Amino acid sequence: RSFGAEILLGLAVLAVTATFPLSPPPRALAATPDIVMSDGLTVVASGRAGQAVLTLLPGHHGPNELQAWVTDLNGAPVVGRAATIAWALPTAGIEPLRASAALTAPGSVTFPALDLPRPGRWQLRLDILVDDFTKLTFEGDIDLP
Amino acid sequence: MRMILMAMAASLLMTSAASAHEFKVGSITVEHPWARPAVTGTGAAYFVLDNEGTTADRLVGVSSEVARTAELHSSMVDAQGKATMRPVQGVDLPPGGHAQFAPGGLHVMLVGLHDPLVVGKGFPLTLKFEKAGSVTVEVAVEKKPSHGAGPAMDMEHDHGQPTQ
Repeated sequence: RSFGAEILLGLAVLAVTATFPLSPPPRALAATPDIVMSDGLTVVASGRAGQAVLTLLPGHHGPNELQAWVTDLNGAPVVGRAATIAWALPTAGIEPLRASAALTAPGSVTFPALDLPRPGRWQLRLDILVDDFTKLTFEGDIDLP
Repeated sequence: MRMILMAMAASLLMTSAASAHEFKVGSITVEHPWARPAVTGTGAAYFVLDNEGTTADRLVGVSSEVARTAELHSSMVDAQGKATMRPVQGVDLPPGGHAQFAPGGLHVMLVGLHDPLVVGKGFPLTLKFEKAGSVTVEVAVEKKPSHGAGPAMDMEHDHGQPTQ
């Protein structure tokens, strides 16, 4: 048989097996954890060094808790010392307000008391202090009812 | 020797196909959209977004003809092991911003699949950006991504579907 024919045969085998349908085995389905659909309003602020999932609870104007989940470019939670959140509503002339908090676990920080008194597109800026020399910044907008 | 050369030829073909699997709209690049096979009910799609421009933009919606609805979701597991999923209003992409949709994290949830997602049979997915507009990408159905990593956990399989 020729060399070229053997290459074609190999590629044909690959092409055929790639079309085989797949389904997860029953034990994989049984092992899936119970998933809770969370309340609140969530946006994702991406940056050069990763991304931050920002959730406001209850997610309408007034007092809110902000939960942040921050991961690096590999999807791993960011380890940091402290975080600062700034929130502003420029269309209403509300200048940035700020609060600080410690990270309760890698990637996780909660700001318990943010007052967003009016509906509108609020600007959020999260700074994570990784060490004395490194700060990661994530900015995002959230349309608050 | 011949088997080695055959394997090399096949892998070169697959590598070049993966590197070419990206889509652009304005200054936004959508890299390698992919999904796992799904028999029925719910599926999930993943990709990477890069904003290579000088103006901020925002992913505000998704749609696909393969499912009843398509939604932006974020999954996470907290320190106590509780799994949470959240609908996402938007994904902000500042200049230089990089957003990763991957199993266990951000994903497009496809609810009410009309047909199974089968390896080798792609499907269209439309992404809507606030400034750049809409782009329809071809999502490759694969057992696992041909490149890239992302969170190891995956909670999107059969989300919301009764066990059988």
